[in-house]
Amino acid sequence: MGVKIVVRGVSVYYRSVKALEGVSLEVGEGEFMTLVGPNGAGKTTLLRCIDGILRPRLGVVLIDGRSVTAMDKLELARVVGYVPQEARPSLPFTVADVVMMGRRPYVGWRVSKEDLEAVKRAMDVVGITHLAGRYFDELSAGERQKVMIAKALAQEPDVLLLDEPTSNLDIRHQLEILTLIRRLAKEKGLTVVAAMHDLNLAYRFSDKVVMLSGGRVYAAGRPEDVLTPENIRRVYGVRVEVLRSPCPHIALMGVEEG
Amino acid sequence: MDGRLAALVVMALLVPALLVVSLGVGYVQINPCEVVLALLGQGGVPATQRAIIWNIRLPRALMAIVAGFSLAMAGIALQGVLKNPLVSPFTLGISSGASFGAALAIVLGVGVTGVEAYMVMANAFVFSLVAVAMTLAVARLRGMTRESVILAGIAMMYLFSALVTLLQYVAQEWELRILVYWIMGDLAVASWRRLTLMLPSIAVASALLLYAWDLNVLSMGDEIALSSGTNPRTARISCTVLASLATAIVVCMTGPIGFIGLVSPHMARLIVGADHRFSMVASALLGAIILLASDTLSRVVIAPVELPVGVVTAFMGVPLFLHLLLRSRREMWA
Repeated sequence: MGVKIVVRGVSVYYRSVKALEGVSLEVGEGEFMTLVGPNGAGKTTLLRCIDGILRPRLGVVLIDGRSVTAMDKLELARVVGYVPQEARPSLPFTVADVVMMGRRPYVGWRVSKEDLEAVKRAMDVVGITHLAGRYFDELSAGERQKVMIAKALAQEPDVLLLDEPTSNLDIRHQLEILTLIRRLAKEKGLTVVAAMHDLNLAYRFSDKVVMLSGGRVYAAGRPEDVLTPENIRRVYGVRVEVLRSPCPHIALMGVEEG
Repeated sequence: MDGRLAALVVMALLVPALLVVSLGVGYVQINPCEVVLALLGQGGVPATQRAIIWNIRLPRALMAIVAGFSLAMAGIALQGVLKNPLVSPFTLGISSGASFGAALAIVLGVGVTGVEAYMVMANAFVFSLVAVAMTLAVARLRGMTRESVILAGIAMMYLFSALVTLLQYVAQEWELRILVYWIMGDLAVASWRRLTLMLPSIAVASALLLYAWDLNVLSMGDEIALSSGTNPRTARISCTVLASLATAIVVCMTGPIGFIGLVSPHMARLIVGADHRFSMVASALLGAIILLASDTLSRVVIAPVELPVGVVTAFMGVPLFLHLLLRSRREMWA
């Protein structure tokens, strides 16, 4: 499997506040990478850089060897799908309307048969076909998250970026969504980068974990190598134990004193 | 899907139907058959009737259609980019700018052109765009955010309204009378020449349809718009400029006819849903229908006296709007 995304020496400043500094990482094709780190560590900022929403002051993000900031916005939208933390439409759209928006990078104005099929496929994969006629804002948070994933999939991207896809969801939906995303990565070769707060879910579902701290990469690698008690204590200031049974599990022991 | 298309077809057919009715009613009643014959240039219609239809009523009815279409299209585009249900084409200061331009010409005889016949029109056009330009210039200082555009627009509205009041204060009684009528907004001034001058607004308003997809993704938030390939800033600016231009072309001929640009978008969304590919077309057609119907009523309610069309628009539109609003499950904004 080849390298899909290369982030090289990326630094981002919001006005004069440093958000990312010299971040470099690589994501392989079909890999599920999770970004973890405390609030303000730069997870969302990094996702925005990969999606070309933010232009880094220094460094470059390459997808398939091409710089995302140099790519045309429509072209980029056909390669990268982005699922924000929460979407709040200002108008009463139906689920079908929202998923159809994923075709924006493809259609001139008229919707073709192909577009309708892509929308149908996306809703099918995510399992929301039965919700097609419902209003988006009447759905539960879990269902809304699925709709936004379907919208991103309707873009037929190679790369899927998710910003805390499970933070508003109950435990069943958390598992459902992450199982779905992992399946997409493994079966369709979708490259996934997700920012996450729940270290256990990150441990369990991702191929690779990148731990950010203060805008820098603190550690990167396999979950078991990155999510160690030592790293977590250093970055979060929280004492944890990693239990091996019945499945790998990070137990939160308490906040580090001093 | 099909329901929305069917609704659009019905609305599109209502326009010519209403046109025939509109051309028939008035001080001289003409039955629909004669109207159609006269329109087709067939014989069998008395010359007076033909003249009434062709020289008086047709340009006026067509102006109502063009004005309603453009104002309603501008309204839905602006509500879309500014994500605010209270926005109308006049929110950016267009109507007060236009009124000030008209007042300058009427009261002081000062105009951007020396040709007296066109002085009011040209002034209204130029100053409505001046007001919009000032609004956008101020908003730009605050990064062209939605709030800054709306607030700057309100500020300009007050500024130009104050200037109009000042001119009203110094005006002669007869000037005041003309000015007040102008500000009410009216179609009685219709003529073929004015209609021709107004036609470009249809093209400008229709160009807004190209932004239907952008408006859809924009309403999901700037982040989603960006990741869907839409640049929010560019889309916002283009839509605002096109909508303002279409509105200015209409308003400089008719004066500020309110209500259409505010309410048609809401009605459209209640009928065909939020997807701008459908709601924009529906809004424009509804705008044409409402204004044409209102103008027809304004000529017959207490004939031979004509009411200002803006008054009728509100009297007719408000109950219709409230009915849709109360009956429908939802339309509201997050």
